[in-house]
Amino acid sequence: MTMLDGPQHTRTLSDSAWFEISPPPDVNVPEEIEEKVVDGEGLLDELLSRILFHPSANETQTLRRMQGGYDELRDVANLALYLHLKKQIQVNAFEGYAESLLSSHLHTSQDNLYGSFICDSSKIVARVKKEKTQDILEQESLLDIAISFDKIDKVRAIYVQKYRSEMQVQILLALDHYDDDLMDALLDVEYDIRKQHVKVVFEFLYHPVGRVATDDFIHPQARCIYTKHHGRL
Amino acid sequence: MILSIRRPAVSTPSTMADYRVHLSQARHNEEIADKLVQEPPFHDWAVTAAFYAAIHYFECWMFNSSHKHSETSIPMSNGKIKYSPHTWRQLIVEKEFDKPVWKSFRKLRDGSQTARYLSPSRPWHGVSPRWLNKPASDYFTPEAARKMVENNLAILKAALDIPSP
Repeated sequence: MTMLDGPQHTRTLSDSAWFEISPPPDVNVPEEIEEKVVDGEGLLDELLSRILFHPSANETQTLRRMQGGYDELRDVANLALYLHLKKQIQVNAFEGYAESLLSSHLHTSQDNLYGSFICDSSKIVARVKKEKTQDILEQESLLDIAISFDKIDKVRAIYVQKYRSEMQVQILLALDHYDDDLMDALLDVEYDIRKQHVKVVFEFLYHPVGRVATDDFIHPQARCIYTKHHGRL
Repeated sequence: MILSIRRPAVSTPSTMADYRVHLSQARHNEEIADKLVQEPPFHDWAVTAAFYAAIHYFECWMFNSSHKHSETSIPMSNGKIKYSPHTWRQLIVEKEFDKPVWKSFRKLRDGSQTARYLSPSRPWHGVSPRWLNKPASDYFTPEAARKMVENNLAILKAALDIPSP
């Protein structure tokens, strides 16, 4: 997760893919707290990264780790300070996430801060999932594609490229002759991916490239998301 | 993605002309597919003929839907079509029919593409393509081609309610 430096001001959440907050003007940050802030940012980053790039990852586990991290802070003021000092949070798909997180904790009483934090995080996780952007949906689908086709031995490599609004998925097969059973297996995987990622429009293309190892032919802008390294290829 | 396609209704006489043209062309293509599949080494072209028969049979079905034609119903974005006609047809088949029908359509399309190009259908500029290391007539056995022409096309026709000649 990228944290950006930049102007320290507050922008309207709905107008921006980036959420920025201003630090309190009179805050003097002790060094030890700064370290904890860095730790806290790391934990938050980890959660966001998991949500965005590992949708099936164990979020509960991550939340527990976060809770553990924040328990170490002990002092509610430190947490509030961390939240104040977090100048920019890349929110892109999760503007609401950052908004809820920050606004609730800056106005929460000391007694229930930690509980509230975890509770809000859970709610926000659900919200983030609901509000994923198309880019994120596409990234998730690519992960599924790579994992799913990995199970098919003849799949040699997978390239992807956007074309119009389609996600073109070029699947290179180590194949010398047409194999109807293989085609069935490939299409079964493709069908499941289509049904699991209904908001992404795919164009799957299967190319037999023989068994001889040579460079793949592909457009320079196509991105390789999977390759199988077999000695025989 | 939202597809809203009305199930085919009975066509009025004034709209039947295009339907009949598509049906006629589909049968014409299927007929040559049936012939070519019996004549190796030209059986690879049977796959392509069968795919183009499938397209025209599908257009018959489309003509009785609210969309009428694939090419004219592709969603637009900023003045440009969002998908290729092939992708659009596949989306509709996926949405409106069962998995075996979709798979049959996909097999015909994919087989036809390989039979014609031996590589991606849209060779990418700037990079020398690496083709399949044999002609399509060697890549597809006559049996494999026959299965596509006879089984896959038949599954699609049945789903599309194509009348017998």
